[in-house]
Amino acid sequence: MSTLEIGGISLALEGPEDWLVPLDAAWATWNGPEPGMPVQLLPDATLPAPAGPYFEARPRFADGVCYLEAPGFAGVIALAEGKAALRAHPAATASDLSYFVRTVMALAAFEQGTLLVHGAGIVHHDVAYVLYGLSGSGKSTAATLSTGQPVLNDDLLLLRPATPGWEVHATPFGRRRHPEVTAAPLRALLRLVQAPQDALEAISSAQALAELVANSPVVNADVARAPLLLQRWQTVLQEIPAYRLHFRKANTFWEVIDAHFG
Amino acid sequence: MLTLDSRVQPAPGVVVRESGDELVVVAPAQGKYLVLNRTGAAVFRHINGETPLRDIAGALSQDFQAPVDRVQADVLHLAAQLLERGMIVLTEG
Repeated sequence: MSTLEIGGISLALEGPEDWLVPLDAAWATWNGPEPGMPVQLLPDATLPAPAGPYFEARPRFADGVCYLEAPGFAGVIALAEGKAALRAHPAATASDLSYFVRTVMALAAFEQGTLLVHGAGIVHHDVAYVLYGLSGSGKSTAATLSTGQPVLNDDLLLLRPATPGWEVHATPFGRRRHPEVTAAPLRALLRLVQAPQDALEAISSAQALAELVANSPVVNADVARAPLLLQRWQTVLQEIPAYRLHFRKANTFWEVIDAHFG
Repeated sequence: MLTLDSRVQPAPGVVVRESGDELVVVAPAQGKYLVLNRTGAAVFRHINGETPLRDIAGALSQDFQAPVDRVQADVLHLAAQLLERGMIVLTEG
């Protein structure tokens, strides 16, 4: 068994050694003291061979239970029962298994009052800016351009309530820079828009709310969790400013951020 | 086909949230999100599966003191957008 802890949310991974070893290696610095919720990874040769990567599977929800199914994979996440299990064809890759664990983490994090968001978390003057947006919005580009600054992650972050405000925690589900920095207070939420000129655009709280919900993986597909998801993001937006950040492919966008936020 | 005589209702599973003057409409199953301004929010609040779009437009025309033919066009346009995104459905019968 190995553990994965992100921002205080712990999972205990159980499965055959040849599946756990690569995950342990990838997440070596993410072992927490608490065992957390068990996540079973079960080889099942009776399943058909995978037809593609597991991340193409989309979660389906019924009665609070999440099903993540694709040829070669049968994942069930029942948080109310404290259980998550993936039956997978033996040909499953570490990337496939990681996708299931990431899905469990998204739901477990939400259950415990936190939020996962598709965003690049960049620490600048000791506070974190979350540059968010779906695939292709420029998260990795913006992180790469932020030379020398700690990157908590360039794709997926965990937000946790703090006193005051919220804090951003690193996750292992993407690229990082300066991994010794694992969390920072959240200063602003910036929706990335690639543009010819750098600029901050004010947006309404409703627009920010809709865009943040759209960038909340897994949970935003569940009808039953949607009201609480909206409510939680609205709580975040009561304390944290949100803007659209128009940026060109240069690190000059930090000048715009500095001019506004100091 | 959507007409002023159509009656529509929020699609099952659609969730809304007020935010300032605006309304966020989320259709989790479709992965669709829409922000409605004050006028759009007013239209959505009238959508109940029983009131024809013509009557919704009539009520809003009075509320906003706007020409009824223009409000009818706006209501029909918004309803078409919501229908296309799976956020409302036509009421049977």
